Amino acid sequence: MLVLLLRICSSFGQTADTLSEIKVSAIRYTDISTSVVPVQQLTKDNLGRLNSLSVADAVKYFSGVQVKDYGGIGGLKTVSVRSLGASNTAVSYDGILLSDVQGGQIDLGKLSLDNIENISLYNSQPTNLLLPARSFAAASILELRSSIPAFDPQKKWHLKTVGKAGSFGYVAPALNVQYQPGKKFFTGASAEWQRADGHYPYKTYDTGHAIVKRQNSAINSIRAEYDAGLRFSDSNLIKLKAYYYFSKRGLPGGIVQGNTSNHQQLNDENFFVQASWNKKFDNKNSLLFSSKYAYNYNKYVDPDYFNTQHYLKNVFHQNEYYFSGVFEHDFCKTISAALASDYSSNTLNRTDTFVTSFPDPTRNAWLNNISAKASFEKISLQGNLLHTTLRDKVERGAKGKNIHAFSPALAASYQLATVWPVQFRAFYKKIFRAPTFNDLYYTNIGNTNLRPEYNEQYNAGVTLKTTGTHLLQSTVFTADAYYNKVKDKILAVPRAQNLFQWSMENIGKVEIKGLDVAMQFYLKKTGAVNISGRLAYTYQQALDVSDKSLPTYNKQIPYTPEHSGSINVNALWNRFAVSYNVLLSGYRYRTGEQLPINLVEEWATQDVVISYQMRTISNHRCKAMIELNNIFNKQYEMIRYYPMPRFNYRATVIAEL
Amino acid sequence: MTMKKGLFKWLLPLAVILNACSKDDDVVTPVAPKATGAYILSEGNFGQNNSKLGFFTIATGTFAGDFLVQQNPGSTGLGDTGNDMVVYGSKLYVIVNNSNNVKVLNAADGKFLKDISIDQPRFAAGTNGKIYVSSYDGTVKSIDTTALSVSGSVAVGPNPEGIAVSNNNLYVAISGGFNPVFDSTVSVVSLATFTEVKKIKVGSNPYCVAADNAGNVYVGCTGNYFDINPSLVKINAGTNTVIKSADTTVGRFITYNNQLLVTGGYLGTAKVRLLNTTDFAATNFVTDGTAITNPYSVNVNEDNGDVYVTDAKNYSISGEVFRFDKTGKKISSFTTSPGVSPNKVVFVR
Repeated sequence: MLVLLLRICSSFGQTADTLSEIKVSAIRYTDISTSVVPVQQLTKDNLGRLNSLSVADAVKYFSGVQVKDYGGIGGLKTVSVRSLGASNTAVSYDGILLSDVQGGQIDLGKLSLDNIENISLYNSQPTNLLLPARSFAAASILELRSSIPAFDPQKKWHLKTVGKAGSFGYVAPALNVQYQPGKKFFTGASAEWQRADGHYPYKTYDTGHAIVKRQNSAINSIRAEYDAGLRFSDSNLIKLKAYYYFSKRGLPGGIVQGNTSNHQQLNDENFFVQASWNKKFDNKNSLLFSSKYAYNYNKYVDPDYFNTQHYLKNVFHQNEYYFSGVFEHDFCKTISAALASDYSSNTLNRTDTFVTSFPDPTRNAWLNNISAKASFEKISLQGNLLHTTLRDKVERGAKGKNIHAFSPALAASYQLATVWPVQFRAFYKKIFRAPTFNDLYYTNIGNTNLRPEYNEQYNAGVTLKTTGTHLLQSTVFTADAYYNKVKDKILAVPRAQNLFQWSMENIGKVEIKGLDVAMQFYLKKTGAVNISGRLAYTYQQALDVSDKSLPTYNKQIPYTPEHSGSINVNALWNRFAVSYNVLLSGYRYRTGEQLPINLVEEWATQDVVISYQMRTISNHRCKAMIELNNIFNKQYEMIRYYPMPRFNYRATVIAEL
Repeated sequence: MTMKKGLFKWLLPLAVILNACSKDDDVVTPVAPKATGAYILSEGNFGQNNSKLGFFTIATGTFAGDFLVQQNPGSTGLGDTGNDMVVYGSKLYVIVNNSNNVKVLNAADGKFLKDISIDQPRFAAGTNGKIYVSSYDGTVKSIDTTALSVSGSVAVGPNPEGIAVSNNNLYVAISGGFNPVFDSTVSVVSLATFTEVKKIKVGSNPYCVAADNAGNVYVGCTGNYFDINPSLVKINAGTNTVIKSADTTVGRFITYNNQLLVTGGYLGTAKVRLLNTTDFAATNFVTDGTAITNPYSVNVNEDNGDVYVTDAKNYSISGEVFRFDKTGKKISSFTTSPGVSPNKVVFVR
């Protein structure tokens, strides 16, 4: 029986390659109980048992998170953490943020789990100081780490092939090669191709409730990644990463009565190359330089568009240049401080001919951050102050306002006694999201007078670790209560002077009270069976307090259930592993007006993963896995009139040399 | 009597100017049978299949928010973005834009008769035994009201919107609203031949069209949302020429009693206004200070002159209908819940 322990790392540094780690007898979750801010983490091993295809699927198991999923394999999937809105969640890949100044939301459905080593979701920000200033500039941050090999003198080459196939024409082969000739140098490449026709059956909304197939839901994508590292010494590391992704997908749209055929297509191309240099000068001083160039392309085509050509094409190009430097100084073992300075330049160009003029904006951003932390025996304190300067330039038309802002964050934790495993924690953070280029410059709707959208977060929580000799061998329990305020929320509203025209305005106010509770447990081994699991529950009251005169005042914001949760239980028996996964969401309303017509019903999905570790000649590994998703064949919706897939399956074979 | 009619014709321009404050019983208005109720169409939100047909009973003052489903149990409802409706003969024709449908109901009780499929239909007008429906596909379709099927089609230009009948012609607003540069014409279609006979240049992005009883057609033009202002254009249907044009924002409007009753932005606020048909001089229709958030459409019950104004609020919550007497004083109002963005009122008699 081979199960791999991922390093229990309280510092949330990079986890090493799973394959060279010690073998233990339970599926391990990362110990998150000592973090000063709430953090949830899924390691590669956890991810393999969560019926997840993309990062979006995996993130659904976190508490405090609402994933907007428009269904299918190709559909858009964005994540809102603690009801602050999807634009307030930053996503980083190997330490550097992914950025999209056009729409401001990262589509997590495009991010494959194939090459991901672990996913961490931090409310507020990571606790590590040696980070670019940008990592402090969002309300929450989702960190993705790809696998970096640990050095094994016996094994310079490492090869992994993955073959996946499943329902709705899903085929996804992947290949991963890593080479590490010595301690000083490593290099690796991975590639994956995914395709699916996405013709999944759903029950129609008509009176007959016939079962028909979802149309225009196909996806075809490739992803290629290259990593290299030069380790001059343990304290001097240069890393390089290149990433390329291309996808062509149909946008199936909502199910509209009498109008279910859609032919819109979206092509995405994302390329970035990033490099970082991490140097520790002595025990007290460290430096991290990072730089990145990113190019994003998207092409939207609508062959049903009612213009003269009967065809619409929107083509956007984004270019980003990014530089960051961080210096950290440890004054003593307990106190350290860091200074970070980032510069970025983002440009959006439109090259189709379907608008008369587009401003082709550029945004220059300077972020400076000062952070400090102090860790005593029982008390940890952490704080930072971020200064942001944003300046937009446009080729034509009006430009957005410059932004200058100071944004503070504070966090503290207190351990009752060094021997008693209870810790209290609290944080406060005030941050904003800048208006996106769509908010500012979208033809006819954009508003260049927009101000930033501000949010404030207050969090208080407790973590508790228990160990026992009875059935519950060990548990990690976390509970965090929070109060968030959003003001100047950017929403589309009709313009007063001209009823036909909508415009983006700083109009919304939201007050959020929530509770996130999670528990990880390990049961006592009975016979040859090991059982472990994780339960998560979220309560959220997210009230729209924008306008007293509206019936939506003091009502829950759209698509936010009061209750949601997840269950993950794993059983290991010899070479078999079985996981049972449940996602639960309470009812919610499509709009703030809580009428029956706007109700979106509660749903629950139950999934099973069964895997078998095969014995092969020499030390080659081979694993076969079958994922049974939505085993009770339930039809449900996350977004009204976007039916989600009913029962479906995937089979995976992984061979490693 | 003949003397009086002749005198009236001669005095017409003066009568038009004075009409706003005139109580002259000699102004001839057709005597309409008493209305029993009003259908209220609410367009709903795009893609949400929440278009609603409600019914307001005048005698009791009660409103049924989902009258279509109430009268036709098991029906899935109107569908997506109902945009216009007309009563013609004994039938009600509801134009459901994004569901590609014209739903035909029995006007008296709302019982379902037939669905007629038309691509992205927008507005309708009924005359000579036909319903004419503009479609975003660049045509006007005719529906035979006996056979209840599409009987003809004529190409008019990109993205036609409002449609009105005058002088045995159809006047169709050609918005070109899906093109980067909007259209700015009205297509004149002869009812006799069902072919386009003329294109009249109006303002940018024409939307709503209404005809008066004096042979004029009025076209509200939305502008290009940027540097071309909204405008109102008056066409002489006898000569098919523009006789007046002025910058003013009008949304949906009607002609009534030789005036225009218009919704739309006015000096930065949404108001219901009465416009003089000659010089477009405006007065506020509402005289008692009743605040309407977002007047979206207007209609008059011709048997007593009561004016119904629909309020679309913020386009995402249930709307409201305000009833005013002919002097602009509020009689009552009712919510269109669950109907969002009420955009048309028609009366049944």
